[in-house]
Amino acid sequence: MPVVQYKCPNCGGSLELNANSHTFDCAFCLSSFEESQLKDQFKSNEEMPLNEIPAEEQQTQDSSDFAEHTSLYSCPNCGAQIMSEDTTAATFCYYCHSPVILSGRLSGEYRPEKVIPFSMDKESAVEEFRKWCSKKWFLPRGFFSKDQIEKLTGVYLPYWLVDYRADASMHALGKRVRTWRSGNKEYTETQEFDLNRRAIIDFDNLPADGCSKADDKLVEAVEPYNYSELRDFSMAYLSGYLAEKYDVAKEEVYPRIKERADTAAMQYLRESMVGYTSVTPISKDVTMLSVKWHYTLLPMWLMTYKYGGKDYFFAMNGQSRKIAGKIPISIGRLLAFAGGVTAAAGLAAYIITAFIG
Amino acid sequence: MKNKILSVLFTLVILTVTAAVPLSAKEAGYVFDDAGLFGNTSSLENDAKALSDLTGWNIMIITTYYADGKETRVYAADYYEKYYEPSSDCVLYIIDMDNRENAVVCGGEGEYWISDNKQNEILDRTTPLLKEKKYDKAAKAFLSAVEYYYNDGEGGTGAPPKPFDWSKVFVALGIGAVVAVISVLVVVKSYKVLAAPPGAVYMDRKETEFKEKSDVFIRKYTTSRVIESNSGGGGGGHSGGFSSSSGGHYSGSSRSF
Repeated sequence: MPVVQYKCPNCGGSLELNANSHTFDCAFCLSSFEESQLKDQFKSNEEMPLNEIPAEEQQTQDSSDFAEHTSLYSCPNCGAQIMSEDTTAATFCYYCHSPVILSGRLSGEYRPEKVIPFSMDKESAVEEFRKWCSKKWFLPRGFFSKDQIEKLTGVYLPYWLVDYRADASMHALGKRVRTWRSGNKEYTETQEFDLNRRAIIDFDNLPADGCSKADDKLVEAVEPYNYSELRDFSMAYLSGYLAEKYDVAKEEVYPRIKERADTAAMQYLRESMVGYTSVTPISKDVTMLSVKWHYTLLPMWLMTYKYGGKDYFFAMNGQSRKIAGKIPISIGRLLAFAGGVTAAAGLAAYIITAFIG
Repeated sequence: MKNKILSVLFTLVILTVTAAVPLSAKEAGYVFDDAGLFGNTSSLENDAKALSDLTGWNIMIITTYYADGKETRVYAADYYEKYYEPSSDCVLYIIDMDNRENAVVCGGEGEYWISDNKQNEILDRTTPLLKEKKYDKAAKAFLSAVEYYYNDGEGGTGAPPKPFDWSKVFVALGIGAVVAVISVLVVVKSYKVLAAPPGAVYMDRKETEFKEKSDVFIRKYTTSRVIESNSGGGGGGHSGGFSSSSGGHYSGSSRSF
């Protein structure tokens, strides 16, 4: 399996994607290149057959000493051994911190069709993170300490984007109820309607992550992505970030996709039944007409934190900056807050009852 | 021998004289706990005596399990007249376990100082305590209220300070705790930001087309019901002037507990 790096044509230093300008910058000679300028080099990297890879860049995988899902590679820059999990597609050398792309992990069926590049660098991500934390009074200090912030990592997560066409139908009983009074009697008039809806509904790029390590709820919560920025996949976009290849096949994510689409389709049909006091569904059905899969990498900033023996997660959309997470709460601060609220609300209640009574 | 006969005769004379004069209330005390509701009467005795000395009125606190078929206020007035002249200056408080009522009865000057309104204000304080079986506290509340009204003057319009009600504090703390629990739950929930956008976000509404969209009327029906009117109920008790069994005039107010 080949290991590639994107090198600066001027000085040979490692090139990294600049998330703000979407150019490829050299941290050593400060050169900056457009994608078109480096097209030839990118092309040779991405189309490089395994048997043509220079000997020094050949993988020196030795799985015998490692667990089943761990592999060793040589850093093309310094020659150090890089250990990675078998789903890792892009990482850093631990010693020289050069970005390394394990191109073999992104070949064949694992080659993504599309990618949305990061639109914010780590500095901006940290700034967003700090801004968000400043509004969270109950966060333990350790959560946004310098050491912890260092763990904020930009990752391209594997996603299945699905174009889904469904034939959805709903049969329901609609009721219109009118009430009025006359003398000492109250009258209720009820009109019943037989409601039928059937529609062909298209979903474009309905996403489901294909990474078993990712918390499905967490990564769904940072959606949606702006798909107008989808680009044809190029490994160069991964330079400077971590990347994972999918390990959850599309057949496995299909039930999640279908449930999400079916729920949305039913909601759409239900919303078209307007002007009724109540609507009671009698039967509903969704039939999938066609489905088209696009294996895509989407950018995300991730961080995990251990607090009180539990794992907490923070995620930020690497494009829209939308934040999600299950974050820790400082028990001390929460108890202080609870005590304050009890005293304040209790005092208010006492004053009100004394005033009334 | 002669001396012994004289001594016995003297004793007989003394006994005859003392038997002919009714035992005064001041000698018998101020608290007549016939129902045995008070744990320790000595404190109440002292307070009632102090109030009696202050006001110059006869102060009497009575409890009973048997009201002899009489209305509570009349029983209290009759009880008072065992020791004092009818309609003399007095303020009485009775806890009648037979009729499950408590009452304030005033005679003579007491009638003018402790009006019907003030009697009812006293009962406002004592009745809740009786419902909680706090008989001693009810009697003390009566004494402190009468003392306040006396100090406030004959035409005074003030109301005695209510005793500190700890139950209100506990209720307020309970409300505070409930609010705190709800606030904490809201905070905890807000620290789990995991709501995914609905699938409808990915729906291509331009391409979506309805193949069928029909609303067919089935039927119509009307039902009716009679609107019931609510009528409120009132509480028990008496208030105003009344007469004792001997014809003495008093004013008094009573209330059920």
